[in-house]
Amino acid sequence: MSKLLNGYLGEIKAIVNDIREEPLESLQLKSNLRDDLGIDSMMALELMADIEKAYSMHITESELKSLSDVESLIELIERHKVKKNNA
Amino acid sequence: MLIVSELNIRELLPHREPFLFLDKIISCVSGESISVSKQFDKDEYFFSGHFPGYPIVPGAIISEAIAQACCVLFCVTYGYDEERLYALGKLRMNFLNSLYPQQNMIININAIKLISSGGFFKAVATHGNIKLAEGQFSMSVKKVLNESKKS
Repeated sequence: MSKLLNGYLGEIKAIVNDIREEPLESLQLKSNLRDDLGIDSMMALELMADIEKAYSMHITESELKSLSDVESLIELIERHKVKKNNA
Repeated sequence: MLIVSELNIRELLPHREPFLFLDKIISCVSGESISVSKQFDKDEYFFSGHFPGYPIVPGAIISEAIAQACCVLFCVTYGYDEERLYALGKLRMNFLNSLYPQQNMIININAIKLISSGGFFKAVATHGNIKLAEGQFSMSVKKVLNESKKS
């Protein structure tokens, strides 16, 4: 696994742990946000706010609704990073 | 900045006495922030029990007032819908000082994340220069179910 991906997983795990207020046993690329990580619709708002702050980005409502697992979240962060670099 | 007068509170909130805890909307910026005020009369029903001979506004009531302010901000942003219900999610509040009868409380709310199905907010309640409470909480909105209407 790449260093970049490991970095994302570690950072996202720390954010999710803070929101859940209890540590996750594991967080994988394919971990489903709701079913595996226990992120309900209200926790998702908090997660998005923390991700926006951590990565200096703005997540739209439709982007939020399209997220299903950790991989889709990392892809979204990467897309915003590319957009920012190209701006 | 969109300024909403106190007359609009009842048009924006489904809450009514004895569970309406906002007097006046001082200012509101759609999608961003709201500032409201509330003064609790000495005859409020909960003072007789909280506490006998030493009335203090319960922290739960301050939290509810903050939640109602967030509901108003949501309505100013997305419009009023009489079929909408509000549900409190996570509440992380620190209560720092007491609020007594007939003291004015100002609540300032900033939306950290606000979308059409809910919001995540930062709140501070003050009396003059005294900070009463501060914290964060999330709220979601739902459509009224027929069962809820009946009961």
